[in-house]
Amino acid sequence: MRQKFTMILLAVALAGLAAGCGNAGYAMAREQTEYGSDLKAPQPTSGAAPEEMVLTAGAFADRKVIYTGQLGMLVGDVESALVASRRIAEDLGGHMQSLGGDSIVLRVPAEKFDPAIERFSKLGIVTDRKIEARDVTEQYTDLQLRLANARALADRLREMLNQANTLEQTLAVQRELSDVTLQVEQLEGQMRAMKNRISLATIGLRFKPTSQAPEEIRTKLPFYWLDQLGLENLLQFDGKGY
Amino acid sequence: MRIATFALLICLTLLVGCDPQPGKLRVPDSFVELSEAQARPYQARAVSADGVVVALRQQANPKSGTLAFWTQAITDKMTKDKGYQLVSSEPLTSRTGRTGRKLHLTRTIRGVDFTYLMAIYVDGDRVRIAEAGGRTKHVQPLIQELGESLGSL
Repeated sequence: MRQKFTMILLAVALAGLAAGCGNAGYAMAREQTEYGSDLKAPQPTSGAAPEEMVLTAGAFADRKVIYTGQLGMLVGDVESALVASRRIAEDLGGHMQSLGGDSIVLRVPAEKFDPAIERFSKLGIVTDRKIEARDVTEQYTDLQLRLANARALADRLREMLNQANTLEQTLAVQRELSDVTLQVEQLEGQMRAMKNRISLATIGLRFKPTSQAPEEIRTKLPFYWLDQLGLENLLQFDGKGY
Repeated sequence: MRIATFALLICLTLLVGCDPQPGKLRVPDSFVELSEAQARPYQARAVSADGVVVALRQQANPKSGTLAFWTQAITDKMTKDKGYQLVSSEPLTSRTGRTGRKLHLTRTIRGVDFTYLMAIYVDGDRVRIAEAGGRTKHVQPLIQELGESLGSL
């Protein structure tokens, strides 16, 4: 009985190690059943297997994409453009991630990425534009499988802990359970971060005042009074009173 | 029937005749109209106690300057050159039946939000632009009155 228990624990430990190594963990977790344990291990290859062990790539057919964008723009007033861009992001259900100098990084829901780029582009003259849609379906699926395996291992170790007969067995299982639990937490953290990057697109904007624009892209109509329009003149008085 | 039509015509004539200066910018009741010297470079300018200003400027219009031309020129100047954000651009018919364009713009200056409203009219050889603006928190309660002002030409 003792030897059998040690063998099972060894198998679980090996599977635990493998869970941190990508898809290989899935294979190792399945192989542990070959040790003939009388504990009920998940068996994904036949029969009614536990849900977490029958995960396959096909189960995650929908594509997982991380959208990012960078726009460099010329605007009349940098401060106003920074405020306006933040409002646009909030209007679309997003938020500001960081702000510094003439740059701002905004997060918007992935499904609003195109309208966001369109609205940001209207803030001024776009001089640089870089849009990226990175397909991370494979990484996401891999992470999901590793997490499922790690959770299954943790469950199995808890069962073994309940069935441990000696102090030595208890301590050995607890050590393994502690390692696997830590691994589950790390994988959950990675999964949260990836889901966040998928659900919220990241858009970086860098503004420069139009006055710094190269001469060739500046246009000026021959009507001087157009320059006099605006609040700076409307709200100014020359001091002549009654 | 003839009498009723005649009476209606007289009433209409009186109404038009009672307008002291047709085409003049009407300002909200709570505003003070400034003297010609203080109004410059505007043709007319009025101010509220909390600093909201409404004004009218008039510029020469070259022969082919249409409302569409000036709307685009002014919108581009304000948004691409001066850093204003265009909230809306809508057709406008003034109280006297002139067709124009109303622009609603905003801008943030040193963390303070400002609102700037413009009404553009093209009258033959003249471009008339009614403007209203001030801190957004002061403009917002007056938005309807200012709209009426800009549409009073």
